[in-house]
Amino acid sequence: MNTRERFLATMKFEEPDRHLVWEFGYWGGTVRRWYREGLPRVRGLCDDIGEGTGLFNEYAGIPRNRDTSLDIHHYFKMDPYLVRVPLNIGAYPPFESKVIEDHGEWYIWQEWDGSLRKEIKNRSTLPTIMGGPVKDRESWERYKAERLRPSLKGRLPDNWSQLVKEYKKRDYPLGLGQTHGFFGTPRYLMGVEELLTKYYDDPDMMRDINNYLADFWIALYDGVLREVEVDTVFIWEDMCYKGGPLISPAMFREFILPGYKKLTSFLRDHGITLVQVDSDGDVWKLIPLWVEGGVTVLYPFEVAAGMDVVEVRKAFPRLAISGGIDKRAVAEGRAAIDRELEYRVPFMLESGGYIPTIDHMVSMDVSFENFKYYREKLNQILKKHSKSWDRD
Amino acid sequence: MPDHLKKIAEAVKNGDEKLTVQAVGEALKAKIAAAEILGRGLVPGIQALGQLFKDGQAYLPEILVSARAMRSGTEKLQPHLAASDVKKKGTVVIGTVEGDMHDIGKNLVKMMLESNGYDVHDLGVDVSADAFAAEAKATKANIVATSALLTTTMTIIPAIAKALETVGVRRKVKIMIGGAPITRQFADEIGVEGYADDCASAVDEADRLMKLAA
Repeated sequence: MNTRERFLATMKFEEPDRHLVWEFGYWGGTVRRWYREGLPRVRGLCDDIGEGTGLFNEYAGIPRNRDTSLDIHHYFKMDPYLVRVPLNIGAYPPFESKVIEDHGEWYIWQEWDGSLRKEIKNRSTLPTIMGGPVKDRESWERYKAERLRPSLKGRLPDNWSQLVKEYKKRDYPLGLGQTHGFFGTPRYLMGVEELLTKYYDDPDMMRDINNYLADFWIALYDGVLREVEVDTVFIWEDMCYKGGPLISPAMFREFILPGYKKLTSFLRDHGITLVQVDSDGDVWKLIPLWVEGGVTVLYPFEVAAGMDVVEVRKAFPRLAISGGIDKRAVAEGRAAIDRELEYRVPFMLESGGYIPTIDHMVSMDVSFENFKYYREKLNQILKKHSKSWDRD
Repeated sequence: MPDHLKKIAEAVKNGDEKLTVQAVGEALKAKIAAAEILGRGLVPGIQALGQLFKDGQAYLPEILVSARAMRSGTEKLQPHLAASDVKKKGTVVIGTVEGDMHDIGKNLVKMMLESNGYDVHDLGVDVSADAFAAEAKATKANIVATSALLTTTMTIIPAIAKALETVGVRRKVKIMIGGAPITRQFADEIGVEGYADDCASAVDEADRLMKLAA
């Protein structure tokens, strides 16, 4: 089997020849630490990648297509990346990236998607989204007319026809979707606090946003699927924290679920059954709703927020899973790594539909030595539970 | 009289800002004392919502709209409140730790503490340990409340305790912490007194810390 076949067999609960060797991703600060601790620097990192920049273990495409975790990928001989079609499913034309307010130590800047982000200067941390271009119905109508036109024009790279040719002979899985979702995207459009109150203040507008996004993404995906066969679709939400969902399941059912149903129905009609949702935090209460909405894969199952993939698997036996290995255990050391892997991984591999990775970006408190030990130990388990192993 | 107060409490609990303001106005017309409206109408409303949140029957949107209703109701009441009517439970200095810009949790805690009778001094985000200490000393604070979203920024919290020691107020000021990577165990390990999982339990924890200090 090649990586694409292995991915499809794994996620569809069939039996792959062997399990996949993948990770979720790494913070920029983690990679810089590992360079200092012995990771061979072949490609290095771009200077503008900060400590808090996420480096995914895949080619994500938009807005910047940079193969930034390649040194780790090569050192640990990981399987070929999953590739996401570099289709912009957000604002087009993009907003100008610019500083809006300069407060000395920190500043507010406008990102290409129109969101306003607050960030500390000269220190790399995660920016916080504090607002966006949509304030009310009028600005929403303007935004969708100007930035969310359901046309592929300008949303695919210039070398698209070349990429289509490459995709047709690929041996890696191909995905659609970027960091957008039925909750995730409205958060960029208006900021979290504004979004959370808008469900009460203007429910009609929130229903319209949900419905429009579903139709908009269907139109874009339809255009791509006419040219390329895609293996999986990603939806990004990050709509939970350690206390549970940011909105109630009832509110999810009313405002979010209809978009899921519409989109996944379209995808199934086009033969795509692997629909993945990315959400951190305690997602327990939303899993049944996602499943009802046609989602078949969830990740990354943050252990610190109380998620346990073993328990999730018992409750939802046909939900495919990736992630779920506690990053804190990998930071702690060998004994904790052994305990963590022995508890979760064999059971999950035996029950199928599982790609083991750390439960989010590998954090900066994980030493290179610990990560090496974790990968060696994990690979031993993967080998033991695979029909064949071609990697020694 | 109880009907007016019940109506106010229900309106706050349901996050109905317009009805809250209207009901406060009606209660004032009915010659109910402002302190009574606050203590037996508005505050029980937000407390009821807080309980629903702790029981998993309300979520963050409900907290936000209820706190907004409470704030507007209090503003309507403000001209009628004598200083002696508003007995503050205590003074809290709040902010996110240095290096952390993520303030949603902090804002929610602030809203709930204010709604439940605390005088809250919000220093915003990315607050240095020295700034926490200076404000705590200047305001004679009972509690410093801080949050961190990241494992990298949570390690800065012990510096706040040190800074409070340096300005000589550590024994008088309790520290309460929260945020995604924070646990009660972490609070115990670094020797701070308070920890809260969420904005509703932050009120309970602040109340507990005030009793400890008494």
